[in-house]
Amino acid sequence: MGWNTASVEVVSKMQSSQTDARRNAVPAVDDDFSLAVGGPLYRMLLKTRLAKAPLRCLRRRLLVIPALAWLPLLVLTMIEGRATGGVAIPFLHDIEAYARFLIALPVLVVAEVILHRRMGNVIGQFRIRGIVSQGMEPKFSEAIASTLRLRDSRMPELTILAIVLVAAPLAWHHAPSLPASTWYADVDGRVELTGAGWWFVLVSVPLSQFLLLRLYFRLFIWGRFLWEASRLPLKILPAHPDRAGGLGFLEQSVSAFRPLLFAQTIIVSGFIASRVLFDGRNVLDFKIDIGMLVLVLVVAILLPLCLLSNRLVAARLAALQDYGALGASYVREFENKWLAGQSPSKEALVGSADIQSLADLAGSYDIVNGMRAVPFSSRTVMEVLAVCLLPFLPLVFTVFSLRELLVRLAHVLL
Amino acid sequence: MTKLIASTDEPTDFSLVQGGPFFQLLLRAGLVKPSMDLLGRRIIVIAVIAWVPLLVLTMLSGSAFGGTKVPFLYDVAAHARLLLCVPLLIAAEVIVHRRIRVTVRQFLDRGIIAPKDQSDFERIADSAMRLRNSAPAEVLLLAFAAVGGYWAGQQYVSMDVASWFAAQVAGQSRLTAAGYWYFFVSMTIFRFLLLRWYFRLFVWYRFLWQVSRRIPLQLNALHPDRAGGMGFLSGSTFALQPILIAHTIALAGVFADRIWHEGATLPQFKMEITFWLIFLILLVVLPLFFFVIPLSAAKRAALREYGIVGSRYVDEFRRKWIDGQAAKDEMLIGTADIQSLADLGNSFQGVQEMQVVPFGRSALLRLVMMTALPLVPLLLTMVPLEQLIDRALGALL
Repeated sequence: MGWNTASVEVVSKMQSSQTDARRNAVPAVDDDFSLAVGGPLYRMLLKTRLAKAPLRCLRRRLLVIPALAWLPLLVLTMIEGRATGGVAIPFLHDIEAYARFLIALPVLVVAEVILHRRMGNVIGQFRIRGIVSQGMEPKFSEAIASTLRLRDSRMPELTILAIVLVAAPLAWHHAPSLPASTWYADVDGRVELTGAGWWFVLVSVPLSQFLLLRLYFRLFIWGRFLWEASRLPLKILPAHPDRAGGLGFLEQSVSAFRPLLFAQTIIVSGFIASRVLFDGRNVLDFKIDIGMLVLVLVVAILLPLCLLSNRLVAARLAALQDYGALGASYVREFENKWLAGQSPSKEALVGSADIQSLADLAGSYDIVNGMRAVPFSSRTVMEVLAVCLLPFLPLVFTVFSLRELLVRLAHVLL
Repeated sequence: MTKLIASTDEPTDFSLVQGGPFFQLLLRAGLVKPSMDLLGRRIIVIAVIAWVPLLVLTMLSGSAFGGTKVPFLYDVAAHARLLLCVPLLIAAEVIVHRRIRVTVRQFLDRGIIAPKDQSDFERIADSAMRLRNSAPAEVLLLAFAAVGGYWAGQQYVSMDVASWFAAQVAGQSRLTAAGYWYFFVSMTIFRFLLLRWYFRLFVWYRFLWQVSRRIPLQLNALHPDRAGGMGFLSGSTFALQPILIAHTIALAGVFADRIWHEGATLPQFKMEITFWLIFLILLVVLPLFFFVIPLSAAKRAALREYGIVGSRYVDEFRRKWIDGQAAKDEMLIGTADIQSLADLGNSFQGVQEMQVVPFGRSALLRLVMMTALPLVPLLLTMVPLEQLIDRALGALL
C-alpha cells in the first residue's frame, strides 16, 4: 500500500510538472480535442436539451433516441394488429428490429460518449510526449484546427442525412428483403408499406443509419488527421518501452471506435438472424459475408494508425544504427576494461555493475529492434476481432434448439 | 442468530455459508459448530435421510437388484446425486467458508480499499451478510425445491419405462413408495442444497458488484500479479469449484444411465457437455468481469502516465549518450542509466500485460479441466478398460 501510493504520487508529480512545462512552452490550441462533439446534430442535441456540453445527460439520450425509433412502431403495429400476429413476421417477433433499435441504437448513443472520453487526451499526448516539438507546433495546430473545422462543418452531416433519407427508403421500398408479408409491408405483387412501415423507413432506419454513418465519418476525420500528422517531422523515440516509438498511446483510438464496430455487427447479425428464422436460410450461407464484413471493419479501424508506419520504420532503422554504435562503444570499453586487463586492480569483477549494464544494454537494444511498424499490438487486433465476432455468437442458437437443450439439462438438476 | 452476527462483527469476517435458518437448525441439532466442524457427521446424517430409506424401500418391494428394468442399485444418476453430489455440496461449505473469507480480506490487506472507504466496504459486507441470513429467501428456496419435486415426479411418471421409482399398474405408470421418497425427500434435499448455493452465489455477485461500483478502488497497474492487484480474485473461482464439480457429477450420472440403460453413446452428448461447461465456468467467472471498468481505467491511466515518463527518459538518454551531451568525466561503462532504461522497459511491459479481467488463461484451463473431471470415467464406455490397459501395456512393452 505504502509504495503503491508513493509511486503513483511520484508518477503524477512527474507528469504534472512535465505537463506544466510543456503547456507553458507551447500554447495549447485545443486541450479537449474531441471527435464526438460538434456538428449540426450535436448542436441540435444541445438545443433540445438532450445533451449538455460536452455530451452529458447520456441517460436522457439513451431513453429518447431508441424510444423515438421503436415506440411508434410498437404503437402503430398494435393499431394495425401486426404487433404479435396476423402476418408472417409480427413486430414483436422481429429479431432484426430488436437488434437494430434496442441494442445497436443505444450502443451508438453510448459510442459517442466513449469516443469523446477516450480521444480527449490523445491529441495532448503528442505534445506531452514531445513527439511534436516546438518547431512543428504551428503546422500541428493547423492540422488540429482543420480537423475540427471538418468536424463542425454542416455539409458532411447534411450529405449523410440526404443519403439515409433518400437512398435507404428507396432500397427498402423496392427490394423487400423478405418475401412474405411483414409488419412493415404487404407483399402482393408489389410492396405496400404499412403505417408502421412508413415510420420505419422514414424515421427509425434513417435515424440509426445516420448515427452509424456519422461515426464512420468521424473515423474518417481521425484518419485524415493522422495523415496530416504523419507528414510532419514527428519525433519518434524508438527506445520507448511501448515498442511503438512513443506512439503507443494511439492504440486508445482503437478502443474509442470499438463500439461503432459492435453496433455495426449487431445490426448485421440481426439481419442474418431474421433471414435464418423467417426465410429458412442457413447461418453457414452467410459465413463469407460475415468474414468479409469483419475483415473490412478491422481494416477500417486499424488503417488510420498504419498511416504512421513509414515514420516508425524510418525511425527504427535510424535508431538501430545509433544504438548499435552505442552498444559497440560500450562493448569496446568493457573489453578493454575487463578482458584486456586495463581495470584498476582494486576493482573486483564480482558484483561489478558493468556486467549488469552489459546485459541491460542488450535488453534496450532488443526494445529498439523489436519496435513495431504499426502503433498497435497483436493483442489489440485480437480484441477488435473479438468485438466484431461477438454479436454473431447468438446465431449459434439458430443451429440447434436452445430450449430443448435447456430442458434436457434442467432434468439433471430436477 | 444475533449471537452469530455478533461473532461476525469483525469487518473481515465474511462468510457466504455461516447463516440462514437451515444453518441455525443444524447448529441446534449439533450437526455443525460455528467453526464449520463436524463435517463428517453432517454428511452421514443427510445421506442417511436421503439414500438409506430408498434402499430399504426398494429391498422390501424387490426392486433393489432386479425385478424391473432399472433397479435401484443400478441407477447411477440417483447414487451420483445422493451419495456424491449432496456430500460434496455440504463439504463445499467448509471450503468456501475458509477461502472466500481470505479473499475478501485481501481487499483490505492489499490496500485496494482506501482507509477512508473502509466503512463503506464494511457496510456492503454487512448487507451481504444480512441477505445471507434472510429467512424468507431460504423458505422460498425450500418451496421451489419441493415444487420441483412435484414437477419432476410428473415428468418421470409420464415416461413409459418401468423402474424402481415408477411401476406400471394397469397400463399406467405410478410412483412407487421409494419413488415418492426419492422425489419428495431425497431430491428435495438435493435441490434445496443446490438452490441455496445459487442464492449464495447471488449474494457473492451482489457483494462484488457493489464493491466494484460504489467504492473507488485503489488499483495499481504495476502490481506484479498483472491484474492491478486484483489477481487474488481468481482464487475465488477455485474456492467455488467443488460446486461446479458437484454439477458435473450429477450430469455424468445421468449420462451414465442413458448409456447403460438406453444404449446411448457418449459423443451424442457433446453439445450438452459443452454447454454445461460454459455455463458452469461462467457461473464463477462472471463476477470477475464486474471489475473490468475500474481495471481498464487504471490500465489506461498507467499506460498514459508511464508512457510519458518513458518518453522523457528515453529522450534524455538519447541526448546524453547518443547525441553526446554526457559530461566528459562520466563513463558509459558502469553507468546506471542503461540499467534504468531496461528496467523502465520491463515496468512498462508489466503495465501493457496487465489483464483487465483478473483471470488468466492457465486459471481458465485449470478450472475447465477440474470441472470436466467427473466426466472422465464415461470415457470407459467408449473404450473398455481391458482394451485400454492392453494398449497401455502394449505401448510400454
